[in-house]
Amino acid sequence: MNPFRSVRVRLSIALAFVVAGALGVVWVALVPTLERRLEDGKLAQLAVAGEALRRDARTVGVDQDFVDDAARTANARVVYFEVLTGGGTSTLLPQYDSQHVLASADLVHDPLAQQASSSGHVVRGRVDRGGEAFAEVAVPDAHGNVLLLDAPLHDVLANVRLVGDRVFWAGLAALAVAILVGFGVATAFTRRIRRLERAAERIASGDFGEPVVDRAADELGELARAFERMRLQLARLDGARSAFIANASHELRTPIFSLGGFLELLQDEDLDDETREEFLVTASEQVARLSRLATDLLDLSRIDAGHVRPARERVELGDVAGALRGEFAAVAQQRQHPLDVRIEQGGAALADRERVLRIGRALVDNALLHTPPGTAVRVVVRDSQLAVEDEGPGIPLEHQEQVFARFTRLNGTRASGTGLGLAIARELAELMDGRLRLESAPGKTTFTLELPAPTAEPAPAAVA
Amino acid sequence: MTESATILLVDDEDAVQKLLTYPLEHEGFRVLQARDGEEALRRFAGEHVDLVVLDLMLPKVDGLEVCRRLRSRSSVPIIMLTARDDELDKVVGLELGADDYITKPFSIREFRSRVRALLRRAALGGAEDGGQVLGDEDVRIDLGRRTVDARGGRVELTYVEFELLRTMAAKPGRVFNRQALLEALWGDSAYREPRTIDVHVRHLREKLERDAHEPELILTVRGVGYRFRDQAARRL
Repeated sequence: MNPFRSVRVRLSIALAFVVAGALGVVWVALVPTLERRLEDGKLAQLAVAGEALRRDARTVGVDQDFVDDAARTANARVVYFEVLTGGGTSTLLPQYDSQHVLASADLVHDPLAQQASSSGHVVRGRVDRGGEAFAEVAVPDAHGNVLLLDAPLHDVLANVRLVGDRVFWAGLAALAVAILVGFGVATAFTRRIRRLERAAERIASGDFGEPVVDRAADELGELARAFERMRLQLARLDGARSAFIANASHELRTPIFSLGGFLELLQDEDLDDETREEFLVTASEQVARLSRLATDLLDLSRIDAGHVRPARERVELGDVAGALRGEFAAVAQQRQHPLDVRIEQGGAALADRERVLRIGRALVDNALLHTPPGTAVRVVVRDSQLAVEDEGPGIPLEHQEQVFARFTRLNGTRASGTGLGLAIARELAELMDGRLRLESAPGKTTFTLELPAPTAEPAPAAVA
Repeated sequence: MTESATILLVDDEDAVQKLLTYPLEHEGFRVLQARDGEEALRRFAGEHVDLVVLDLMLPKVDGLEVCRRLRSRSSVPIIMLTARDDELDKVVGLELGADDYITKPFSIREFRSRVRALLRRAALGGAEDGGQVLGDEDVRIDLGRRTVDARGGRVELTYVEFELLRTMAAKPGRVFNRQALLEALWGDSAYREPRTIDVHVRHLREKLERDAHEPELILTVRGVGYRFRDQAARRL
């Protein structure tokens, strides 16, 4: 992986940018302001002194001593400019200079003095001269002569530079710390992310054994907990899938094994007609069982894959009950079960007729299979419910939920169905927004299919 | 004797019951049927049974548990039927004392031959070596009575364990490989797992040895098989 694409490096770089940016802003905002403030302070100081000198100059007149004294008082160079008139032009020239510089060559054309002289107002400002900065205040008198107070700004600028340097080095140190801390924190996060990544890889490769642990209360911790929930769910599904396959293969193998065995006997043995007939009947029962199993497995896999979308139309449950009686009459008679249909009230539901029939078949088949011969079985229609009742020995309470599980055959009951009928029935009921309930006690067991009532259409009773 | 043997057939599937009963009855055996573990134990307690054919997956009390309970009170030969072709199940079944196992699907021919082999060995056990006694000072194997005494106490062995011990003790010091032991037990070694010998040997050691982890009687010959100790050779 490109090292610059790792979260760790990116986070560090981002943090460094933020710190550098913040320092840049501090620099830009602080240094010029500070410089201006200090400069203004100096100028204000000079202006006050200049104002005092103007008053003094008016009373005592200006000479070399005056400027020398003034320079000491104001702690600045003081230069007196006089207006000299000749040849139609007037020129402002330095007359006395507290620094005694000959002819004050450096100040001859001082712009502030010129400006003050011509405008008659006090002028202050910063002047750069010979590579250095100076604060100047020019105070004119009524005749255009000017007292110029001039103080170097290098102390001030040195202070500003010092502050600037401090800020720069402190900033550099902060940047280094930021990068280190950022890298450290990002490393810690990256390590946790890597752990999560490894856990995800494990789960992706089908290993659900190891829990995903990150106890922290932050977002990564939340993510880890979400992963853990996913792992548990997947492990559960995977376990259910393996159990389903193991069960299905067992259910397939038993009839195939007995079929193979009967074929071997039919081939090898010298059988009498009666035995041969018996074996053939048993073998075809096994074939029927296999084909029932194949149908049920296909139905279940279609339900699991979400391919089953039941219709929602008005279904007359009385018709369904009648159809069930028709289908099972022969089987019931063969097993000596009285099979009745009772319609208590109205009886219509909003459902899929074929699916309701499928559920009804599973329930009736179940009742006929698991009750002793002679036991009465009744299909009862009441409102939008279809119930199948029997007077058999009942299902113990602890097994009542189990009967709906896939491949469940309760202990002691002779293996005969596929063990999938009730599981499919319940799934179908739920797909139609209904529910399949079981109430059982010795002497009376009732499976009730509750379906949504057809509210959109008026009930037949209301029409009448 | 074989002709009148009674076989308890335990399987919850009607079709399998019918399928396996026919060849057994055809051989002249008497077949008792049981459809679940409880019924199997009840029938076994009520009648004399010479051999048990036991399905692994049973309602109420499963096959392994039935095997364990039968073994705790009897050394009757037991053949386990398993639908799961699972190594673990086989070994566990044998550990609980089954003498043989057959994995479904199997041919009726093979089933018949296994039942016959096990019954023949069980029946012959006493007859051919009547009165003969094998063993040494620590272990006494009475072939006539089919009893084993180790260090003064009577030890209950299953049919296969007894046969295994007898085979090895008959030739002290001689090394038997697993194949040879399988053949000595069953007459052939086809369809059979050599590793099952290890399980039976471990059981024998647990019953006979002072310390099953430091065997003195049945010794492992690494990479080959097992031998019974030869005291005569040691004294020389």
